[in-house]
Amino acid sequence: MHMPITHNETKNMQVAPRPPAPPGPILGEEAEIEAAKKDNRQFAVLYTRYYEQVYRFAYQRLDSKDLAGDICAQTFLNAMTHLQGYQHKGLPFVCWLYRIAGNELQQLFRKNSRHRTLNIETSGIHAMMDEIEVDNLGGYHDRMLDILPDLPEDELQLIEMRYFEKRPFKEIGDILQITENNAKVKVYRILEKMKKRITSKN
Amino acid sequence: MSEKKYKINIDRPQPSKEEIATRQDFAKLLAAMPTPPKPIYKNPYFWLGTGGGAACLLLAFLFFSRSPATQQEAAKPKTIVSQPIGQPKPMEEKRTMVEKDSTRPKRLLLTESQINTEGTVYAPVISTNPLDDRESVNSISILAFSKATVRPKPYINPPFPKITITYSEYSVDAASGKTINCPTGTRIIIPANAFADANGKPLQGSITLKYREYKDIFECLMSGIPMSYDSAGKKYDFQTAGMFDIQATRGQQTVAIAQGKNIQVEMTPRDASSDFNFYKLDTNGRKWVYQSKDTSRAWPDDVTSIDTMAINPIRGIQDKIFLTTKISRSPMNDLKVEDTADNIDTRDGSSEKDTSGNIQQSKRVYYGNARHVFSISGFGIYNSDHPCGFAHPVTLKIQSFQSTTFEKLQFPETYLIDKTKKILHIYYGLETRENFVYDPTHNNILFGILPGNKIAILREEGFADLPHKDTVIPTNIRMEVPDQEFQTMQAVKDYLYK
Repeated sequence: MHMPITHNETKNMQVAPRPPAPPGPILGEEAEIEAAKKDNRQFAVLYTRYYEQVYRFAYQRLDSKDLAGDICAQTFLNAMTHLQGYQHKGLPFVCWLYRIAGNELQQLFRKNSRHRTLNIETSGIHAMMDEIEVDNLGGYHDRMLDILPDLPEDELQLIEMRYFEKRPFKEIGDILQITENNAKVKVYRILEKMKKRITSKN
Repeated sequence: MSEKKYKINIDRPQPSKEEIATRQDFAKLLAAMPTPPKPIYKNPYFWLGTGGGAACLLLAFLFFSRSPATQQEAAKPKTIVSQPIGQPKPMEEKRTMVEKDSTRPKRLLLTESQINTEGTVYAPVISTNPLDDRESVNSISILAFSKATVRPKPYINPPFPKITITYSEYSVDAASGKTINCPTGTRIIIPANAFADANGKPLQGSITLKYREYKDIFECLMSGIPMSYDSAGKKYDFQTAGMFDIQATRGQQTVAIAQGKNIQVEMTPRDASSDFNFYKLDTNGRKWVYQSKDTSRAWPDDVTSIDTMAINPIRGIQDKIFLTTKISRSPMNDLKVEDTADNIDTRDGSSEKDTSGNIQQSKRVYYGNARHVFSISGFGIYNSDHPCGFAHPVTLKIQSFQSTTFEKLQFPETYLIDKTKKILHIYYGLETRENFVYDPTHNNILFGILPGNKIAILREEGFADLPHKDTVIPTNIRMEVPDQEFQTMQAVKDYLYK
């Protein structure tokens, strides 16, 4: 049985530090990418910097650490292979890596959907409950867990990024190539939909 | 409880930084990098082949440039004629002699105007003579085209070939003429002796007049008639006030309008504003041709029956009254008539609620009497339109169309309906992929036709997922594909507009 959580507590959870926080804006990243285009060995800087983030991104959607490692390796291999075609358009380089990793994961799930894992954090669930303003946390918590796996993949991805990976809307927008505002609107629409389902069951 | 699609872990411990770091192995990654292919010029076979080819060409040149027969032939004048080459022959190669410096077609490019609607290809062909079979370095080869090799798409290409608006047929006595009142409200006035045969000789007796019209964007879509207009090299889409197709026959014989005679078509418009132009479709040139400025108008005797209406005649017109009217809803849910028009959604006044007698009358008069009047001197397809561009264009590159289950979808044409502006935009083939433009501030639907009369559609809500700014990053568009075969026009309309 879950104890009711106050509004303030939930807000605190939302601002809790994210484990894979990027080390702030990176000066000269463009120069590093250009150098890596000329010499593969220069890619090591980017590899070391972003390995952990990409690994966690993959592992969040999988159940096996080894599989996450494989996806991560394939992501960086693809990135290196196609680096010549990469053009810096103002988005963080890591977003491009996330997109490659996302494609790799999709391919994997298409071959075997059993690999897809939903890793839920209770704090994320509480944050969602708070957003949709349902106060009976204990009662709705289990229903939320029932509803989440029924969401379509694209909606689940948004919820996952926002509440279980605790990404800001700006970053979600960059990864999914939509605007920050659009990401926000979509997330709230999904929450609204979930709220309807939860309360209608009631 | 629903069946779980995923394995679910709750509060799974996260791997530590150190644990993740142990998995990093850049050297292994570098070793796994595929080696880039060797440039072709570094391959010895490339130079061997190139050198051999060049030597052969040089020998051939030396041999033929000294041949007296070749020199005689080169002195003979050559003619280039244009002839239809749509015959279904097997592919063959014809070699012809052309002077080196003559303005010969180096590459056979077919323009749209060379491909007419019947599917016959017209292309420049060099005349043949018995000596042409000899080879020469100055000769060019032209592959004779056949219908098997070039299959131009018909210019008028309905998305559902079996679901189209059919012609209404009327029998007209050529000597006396006739005024036809169509069920759509359109009036066609045919003067006496208005018909002639293909040679211009006046025709007498009974003539069958065939008429159909397309009054809104959906009907235009189903007609398969291109709704784009090229003005000074810039492509616009038509915002239509109505389009009609008028033809005449006598038995199997095609009939034309006699010289000096005009047939008047008075079409009841969906939109009675006066900012439209009148165009005729040139099916051979594959383009719309501007005819005149179009106006909607009504006659005084028509207007007297609706004198209670707030119709504002344009000042200065003596014998005819030009209507610039708009029917819209007031806050009281009554219908009223206003000065300008661009948004009329209903045609049948009987279905409206809370309308007084005057208002009903006004509505009836508006549709019954305000008309677009066209005077035509030839049969064909006509359109009352004005060309529109995108107000807030966003250009995308489409990587693929997919169903919601990630199956790839392919269509020869993709149709974009801008519901806000009531414009149809048709994207042909690769154009969809390379240069897809839409207006994100409008309500749009995008769809393509799949085999078996099925539709794949991206509805208005789906457009929220598309980028709202120009981007060269390829976009995947995921479309809804119902398992439904569409057999009637109403079914298609209901589905597209639901």
